[in-house]
Amino acid sequence: MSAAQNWQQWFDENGPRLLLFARGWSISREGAEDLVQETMLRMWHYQAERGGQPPDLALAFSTIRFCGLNQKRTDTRRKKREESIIYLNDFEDVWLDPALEDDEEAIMLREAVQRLAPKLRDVITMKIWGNLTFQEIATALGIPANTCASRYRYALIHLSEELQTVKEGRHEIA
Amino acid sequence: MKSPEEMEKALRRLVPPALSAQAHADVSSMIASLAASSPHDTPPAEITEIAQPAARRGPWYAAAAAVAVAGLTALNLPQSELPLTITPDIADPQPTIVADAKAAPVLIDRMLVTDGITVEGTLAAADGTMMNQVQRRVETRERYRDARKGYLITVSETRNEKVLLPKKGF
Repeated sequence: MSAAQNWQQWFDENGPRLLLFARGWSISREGAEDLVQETMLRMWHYQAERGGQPPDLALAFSTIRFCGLNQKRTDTRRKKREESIIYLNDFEDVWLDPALEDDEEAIMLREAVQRLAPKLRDVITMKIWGNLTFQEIATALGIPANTCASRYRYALIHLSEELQTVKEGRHEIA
Repeated sequence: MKSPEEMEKALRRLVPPALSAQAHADVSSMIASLAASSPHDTPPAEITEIAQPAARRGPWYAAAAAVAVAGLTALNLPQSELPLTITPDIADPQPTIVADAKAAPVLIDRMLVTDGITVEGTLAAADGTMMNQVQRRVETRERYRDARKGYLITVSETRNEKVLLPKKGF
């Protein structure tokens, strides 16, 4: 199998995971897709000096984070220039595929994940949808593995509490 | 309230969304373009035996005949900057297409750079015209622009040529 086929297969398999992680580092879906493309380009050149094989997912997440930090600096500057512009919500702009899970709880959970603090959301994304170990997440984020595990547990508890609160709120309205 | 294990299960039921068709196509096109210009995807070049000059491998009369034929041919050819190319190594001056038209870089310019000129000897044509046998290094440089990424790509190909040029002085 050629390098192009290897990379294409890797991208087909992991593209959605990369997009989900990138979504946490960008203000829009289009921005996240640009981030994924930039990450693929950087990883290609990085891996070219190491045999040219596709990277492991932890490295990809780490690269997205690096690109995201760069982009965030630019976005912050742009945001200051565009403070007066009102953005309309894009109802198609969801992080987790709504087509597959349409029940009420799934929708609430998606929204709760979107509202998570970035550092909690990163760990949840890498652990749940990236299937990485805490050690791999720690390497990618540059933090201790115990901190990753703590953030993960805290995020799960936080999501559970929020889900409970939203459910109770809806029942009271009903 | 759900336990962390139950929350994990609930989260795993959710599936990350796919990239848009345009973004997926862009990345796929980028991979193809990168692979086309990467040594990892390029098969190793065939090593072919370098042909020795006829004078070094044949009898003396074969060399003399070759010189005579070359001289006669020179007389019949129209005058140009490169009148007699004996061993042209480049066959096709057209750039090779390495990717689909949408992703292919656009050719900006192409230039020929000639250097390393060495006069190997003097030959006499049948009519008495003196010719210099010249070996020179010719480099073809092509510059491409990747419209999507803005990269400037330079492709360089070097070849050695032997030509017969009229001797103008002593």
